[in-house]
Amino acid sequence: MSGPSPSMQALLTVAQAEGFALFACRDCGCSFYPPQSFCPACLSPHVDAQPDSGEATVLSTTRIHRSLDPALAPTMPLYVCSVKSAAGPSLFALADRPWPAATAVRLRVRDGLIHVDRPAP
Amino acid sequence: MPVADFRGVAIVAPTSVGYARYSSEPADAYFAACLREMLRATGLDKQEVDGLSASTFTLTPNPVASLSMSLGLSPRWLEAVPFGGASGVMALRRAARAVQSGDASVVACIGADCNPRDGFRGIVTAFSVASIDAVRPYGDAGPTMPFAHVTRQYMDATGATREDFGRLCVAQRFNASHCEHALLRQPTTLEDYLAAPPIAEPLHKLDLVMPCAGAEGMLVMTEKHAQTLGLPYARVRAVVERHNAYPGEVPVLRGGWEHEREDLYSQAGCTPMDIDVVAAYDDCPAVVFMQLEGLGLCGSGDARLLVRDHDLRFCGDLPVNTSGGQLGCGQAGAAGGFLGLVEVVRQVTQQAIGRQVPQARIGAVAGYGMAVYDRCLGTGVAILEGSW
Repeated sequence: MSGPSPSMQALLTVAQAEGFALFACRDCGCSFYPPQSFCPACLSPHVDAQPDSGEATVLSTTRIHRSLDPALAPTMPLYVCSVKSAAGPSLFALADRPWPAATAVRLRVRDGLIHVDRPAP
Repeated sequence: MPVADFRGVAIVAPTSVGYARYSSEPADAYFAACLREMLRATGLDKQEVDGLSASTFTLTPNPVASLSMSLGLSPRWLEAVPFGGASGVMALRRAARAVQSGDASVVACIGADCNPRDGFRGIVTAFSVASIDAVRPYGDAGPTMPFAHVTRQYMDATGATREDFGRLCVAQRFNASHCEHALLRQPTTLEDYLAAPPIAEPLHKLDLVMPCAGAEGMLVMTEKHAQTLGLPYARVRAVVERHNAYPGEVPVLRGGWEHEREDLYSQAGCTPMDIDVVAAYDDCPAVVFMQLEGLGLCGSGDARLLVRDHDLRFCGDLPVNTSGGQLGCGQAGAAGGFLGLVEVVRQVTQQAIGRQVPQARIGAVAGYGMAVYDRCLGTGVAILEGSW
């Protein structure tokens, strides 16, 4: 397996259409990330990608200078944020600047990747 | 129900072999080299080894079961311990119980990996479904990216600085300069550390381990057996492990070491003050700081003060990672999860030639392994005591 898992593909599809999405459990309501085919809280298989506000708080930003993939060298340096979504899970997301910790942001999916889009209004 | 003690169990023949930046041999050749050296050191016949614990990332497509055939063994106890940087502690825990119960008499615990060119990239780019989905697309920097965040969050929460991390790295490189199998034996300075190029900020080149090939191992048997053979040995005072400690907690500031600390010292019958030598898994300095705190050597968030106030070299007052750790020896895949344990066995049995901590009797070994997504999931600690 080298591309996104079926669960991640489902998340990206819904997020692309709705702005953002997270996997959540239809039985217990738990939101989680990375996506998987069952709920990590109650183990229910009734999980799917559900629209989400994308509201999140920045935990930290790193500026990556070296990638393991030589093809990515022209894109370096690259900002990646660690964020905690309002729904609970934490995620990694691309950013266009080094957002300070505690900044309120909104997550969006573009071209199959999660981006820190802009501060939430 | 209280945890049964590890009385009667001995660890002998701490062994490190095959360290090389790149390998031309497959992983099983490193297992063979390690076992060969352990047999030489103990005088045991190969067929007396009736247990094998194997930790590796690069044996594939061969399964761990294939090692019985390739090593010419017929063990009655064989186990894969796939926990990366926590493999050594966890292998010891399982092997000790096998010996105590009589399921095996002599267990060879070995962590070994080869490192062909581009091998590291091959391992980390397909490490887990979570890493393929949620880490690799964001710069494809392997575990360095999540650990850059762990480090930044730790710095923000505790006030630790790059200079604090540098003190640890410089001490470990000094220790490595006295270790015959270390690949990075050139000592470094705090100035060198601070001037190193950034990789994923705040991590710079000297914060990160160099992938390599190699093997680390030890034999686990009864104390009586070790005495009969006339071998120096370490006793097992305590071993604990915890997987997915504090799940989902962010920022990541602690691990299972803190979760299990009370049980650890209760089993061991000692306190952090009794520890003479420490090994902590060093995939980056902040993680070592968390382990020092988790072991109770200082308060939570206070490791920065510990490294400012103490000398971490093998000749110092708080010896940490006395072989140089992975920052000095290199990261030989799963062998990196044994490196600290093997070194502490050497230290408490007075066999750390050229870097012996004077009078080291009790050692603590912390493990941290398997960065499936944003942190390592496996944590463990062993407390060992020399038999002298």
